[in-house]
Amino acid sequence: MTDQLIGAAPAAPPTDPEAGAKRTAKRRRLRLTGLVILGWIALYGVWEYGSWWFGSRLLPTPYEVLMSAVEIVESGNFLTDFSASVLKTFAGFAVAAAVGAPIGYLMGRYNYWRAFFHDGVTIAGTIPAIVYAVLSLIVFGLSNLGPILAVALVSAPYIALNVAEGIRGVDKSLVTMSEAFGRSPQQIRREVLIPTIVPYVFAAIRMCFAVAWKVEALTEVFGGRNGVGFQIRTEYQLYDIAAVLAWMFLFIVFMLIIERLVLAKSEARLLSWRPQERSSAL
Amino acid sequence: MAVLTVKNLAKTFNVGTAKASRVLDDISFDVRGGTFVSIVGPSGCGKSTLLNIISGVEEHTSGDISLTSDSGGPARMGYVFQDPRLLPWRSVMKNMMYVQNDRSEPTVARCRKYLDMVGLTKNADFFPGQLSGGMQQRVGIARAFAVEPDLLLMDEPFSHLDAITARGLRAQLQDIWAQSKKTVVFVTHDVVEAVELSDRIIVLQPGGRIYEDITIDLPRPRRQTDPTVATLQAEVLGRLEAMKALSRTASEVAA
Repeated sequence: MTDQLIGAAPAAPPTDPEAGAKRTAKRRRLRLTGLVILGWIALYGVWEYGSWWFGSRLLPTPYEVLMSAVEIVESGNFLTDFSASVLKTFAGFAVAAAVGAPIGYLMGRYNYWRAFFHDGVTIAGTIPAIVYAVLSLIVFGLSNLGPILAVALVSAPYIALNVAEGIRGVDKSLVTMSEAFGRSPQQIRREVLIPTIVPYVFAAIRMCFAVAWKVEALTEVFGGRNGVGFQIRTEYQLYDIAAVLAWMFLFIVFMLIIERLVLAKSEARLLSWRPQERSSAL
Repeated sequence: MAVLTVKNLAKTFNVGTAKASRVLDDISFDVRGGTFVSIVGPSGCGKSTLLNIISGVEEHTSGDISLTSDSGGPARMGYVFQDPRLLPWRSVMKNMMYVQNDRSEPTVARCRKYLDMVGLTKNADFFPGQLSGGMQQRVGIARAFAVEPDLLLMDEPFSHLDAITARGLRAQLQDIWAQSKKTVVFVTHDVVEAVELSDRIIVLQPGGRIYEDITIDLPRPRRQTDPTVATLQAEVLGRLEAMKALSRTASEVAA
């Protein structure tokens, strides 16, 4: 009797947990995209209103700024000055990595070196970026080396501290496992040490990147002979606010491209083994 | 011919300081090729230290250890730890390959064979984070067998798992061992587990000395439910209880 009752019970509709999870993830993604679009519309509205309130001479409309940006790109100035700024930023970054990474390695690996560097690196990291910009100009004057030094000084402490944290985060049990299976120090460095510090290095790069661009442009505003900051200063002296904002606009677009398309993508690719990266890729 | 010979081995931590403590004292035994030897004893009697010394991860204070290989070349060792110790950023297959000395086709095939023996062929491209604790430990066991070791060291590999998973893995280990006939030194505090798996049980007592060397002469495959296995388990457990009582009395007399 019981068997018959069980047999007669209507079959439960087939459920696919994976498909359900994908649907939920898609809904969440759509909601988030909607909010991002709303945020941009709100920003546009506030800008238009501000422009109407202050007058377009003081705060040009988004359209005027866009036209000015198109003009800058068409004139050819954009490529020359932008590439100058980009090169200086990356050169500063390279110097920071060359100095910061070995210091970070020593700090993470040996307690003596940690004691030696810790306070100096912490202090260097808390000095305001404007101080580095002014200092670099005093040391190098109106040359390309000023912005490079400023970027390097701002970025190096971040890189050192993050690499040190990465080295200290290495799982000792994985090192013991590798030794028990007779792996060489070189293999342990490549397969255990480097993959451990990669997330920390990415965090350092993203953090530095946001600050480094600003410092580079600021140093050019004060004493550059080319670059985005130099152009912003020139336009300011001509009181062409639309052009100042256009340079800023182009600058932001470029930064977003680097941040979203290069850094975020390569981070997701390199760290695809982490559960949070996999779930965000759903 | 003995694969592993341990002679008068001793280990003292913090030698020459006020905190010096001897964890292993005058340990001598040998392990013949193709046998499964368990080392049991209460917590802190030096079981894991002994295994770490045999593997070369830790130095010993005095005594000798010699290890011979079947091929005549340098002896190879495999190690299964209490926790799986897999590289989280490498897939299961890449974890297997990490401990191999070459990337040749036979090596890849051997890794696949052992992965198949632990039932994880379909999970070869998974990251460890996508597997359960029991599955990760199975990868750890397959990894150790796949290096074709002259000596396989296992340090309480089932102690972090729930009872049902542990029982399944013990049965799987017996099957793999029956096929590969590797020389195994297995550390555990679980006498029941030791009797089920071993040809021989070396009992360590507190203070790091060998208390007893017991031969387990039972047919395989063994299951816990088998009455002869259960009887022997009770007997060995009784001997261990007697040793504990003796150690307690000795320490009370010394006090």
